[in-house]
Amino acid sequence: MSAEKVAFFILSGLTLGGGLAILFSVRLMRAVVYLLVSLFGVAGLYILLNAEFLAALQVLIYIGGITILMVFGLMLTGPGQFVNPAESRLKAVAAGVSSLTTAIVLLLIVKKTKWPAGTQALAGDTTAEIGRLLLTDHVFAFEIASVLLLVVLVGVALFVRLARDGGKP
Amino acid sequence: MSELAAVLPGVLEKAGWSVPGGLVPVLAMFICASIVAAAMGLSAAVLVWAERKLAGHFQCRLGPVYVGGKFGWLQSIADGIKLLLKEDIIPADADRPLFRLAPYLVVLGVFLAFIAFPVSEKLMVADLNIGIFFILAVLTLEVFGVILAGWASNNKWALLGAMRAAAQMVSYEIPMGLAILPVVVEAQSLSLKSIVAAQSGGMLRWYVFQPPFFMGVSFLIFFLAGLASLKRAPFDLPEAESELTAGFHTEYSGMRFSFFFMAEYAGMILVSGLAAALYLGGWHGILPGQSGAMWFLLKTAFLVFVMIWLRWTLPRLRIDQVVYVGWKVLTPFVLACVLGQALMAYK
Amino acid sequence: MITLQEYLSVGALLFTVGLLIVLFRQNAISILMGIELMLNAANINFVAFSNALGGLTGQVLAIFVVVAAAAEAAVAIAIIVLLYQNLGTVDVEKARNLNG
Repeated sequence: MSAEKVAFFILSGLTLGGGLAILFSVRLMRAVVYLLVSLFGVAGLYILLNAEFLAALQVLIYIGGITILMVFGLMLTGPGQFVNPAESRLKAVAAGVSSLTTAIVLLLIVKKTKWPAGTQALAGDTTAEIGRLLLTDHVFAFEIASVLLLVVLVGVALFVRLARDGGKP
Repeated sequence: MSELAAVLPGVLEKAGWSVPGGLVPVLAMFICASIVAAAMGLSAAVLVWAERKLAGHFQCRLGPVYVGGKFGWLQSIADGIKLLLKEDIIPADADRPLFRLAPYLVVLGVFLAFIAFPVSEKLMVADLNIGIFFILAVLTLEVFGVILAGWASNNKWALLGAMRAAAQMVSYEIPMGLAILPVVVEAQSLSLKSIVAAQSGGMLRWYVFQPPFFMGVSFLIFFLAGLASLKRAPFDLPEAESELTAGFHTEYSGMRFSFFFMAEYAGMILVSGLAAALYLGGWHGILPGQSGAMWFLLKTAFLVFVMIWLRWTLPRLRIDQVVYVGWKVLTPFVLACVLGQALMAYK
Repeated sequence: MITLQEYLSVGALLFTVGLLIVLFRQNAISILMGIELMLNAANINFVAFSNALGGLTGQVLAIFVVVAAAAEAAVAIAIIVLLYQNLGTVDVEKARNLNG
């Protein structure tokens, strides 16, 4: 087994194990830590896939931004919410069955489809090329993303104002 | 590290040890990691002594004088031994696993950042092609460690300090990240090696002195934002001792406390070194043709001195002033710098 | 050498785990975590395809997904905090005011 393979199995183990640990953790703060582990595993997979820029972006945005936001969300929603509310058994069974079906279908698709063989592997410094693509071929999506971020900025500021005024518009 | 991995088999053969070929890169990694860890610990010890000594002189005192002879230069070792021997207390109501995890996360962030730290052309662990972006990314781990420490301590001061720290560090990451952009635009690379290499040829080629000084302004912004993200005075709100006891590390004692301490001092070196590499020519000397690790270390030491100087000179800001400076002063200025530099690059 | 199928399988399994969290948990913040995992699963697929086909468009798409995820998390947390202020809970089963 090559070193790449070992790294792949460890990283996918971290990713999936972190995800499952979120499912079974009772304390939400620990669930955030498991989420961190899972996201780290994904960043490692990106490095294996020759996407270093995306791996750094993953760490910067998810760990520096989204998990911190979640911790703030946890802290602002009161001390009683650190433990998840109990789930009903029917719901658990339904969730399990539907997820299992999804997993089987997805894995069958992955297995049965004839994927196109690779033309060439990525190599070298891809960052400059990503930047060029963002501002040429995908410039429209790039602009839309900036509009989205502006809308989110304004929207969240409005929410904060609503929250300060006691939830009334 | 790749150089080390290339040299290592020969060295091992001379020493008469037989190591399987596949293990050589692993060995090289371990050696590099130990060197970085040792350098981090040692520099933290030196800096603690330097800070105490300088603080003493700034306040017309002598600072440490007893331990280790005339200048008290063994003071940090004595401090370290004291911290090692102290009882390691975990509060009864703390979330124990998270309480233990937090200091490691804080140190890990800074430690990982040192992988791309450019001491000289040869003396860097790895020249990543996303170098500076990688450092910014892994430094965010520190924020998570701090907020985890505050929450897991189950203490109101720790929690308040952690929330302040997170708010401050996340807001100042934005000007810090943007301040790097003019340099990246000019050097057309994220790799620290190429950024420094582009500044060769004497002091006037350093990015900080390039007219029309877009990069000079962004150097100041980078340094200020770096101070704030290190939680150093005048931005030390998260650990303001007169209001919050000790902020997010109130409940930590012994070795775990010293981890936070070490991360802070290693962070000072990191931010100073990055500023030196990005704006002050890194390992290039004042005159054309001069270069070497010495120059880089001199510049870093000077910037660290400025940090200590600021800490013992300026009073602490209020939290609203900190947020105001971050969002309404530094961010617009740095955006103007990025825009100006981009226009300069557009031909 | 790791094949494309292996990466896609990890993506599929991660998506399933995310789905399971979304369906199983009632806490709004847990549900948000599940959604983030599902988006990450999609990203793994994008990047795997990008690597297998030797093009960078997959990575560019993944960047847009990360941007969308960040925006979504910000809005979701704001909504959750408002929900808590209005209802005193973040249990999504309790937020039934609009449910006839």
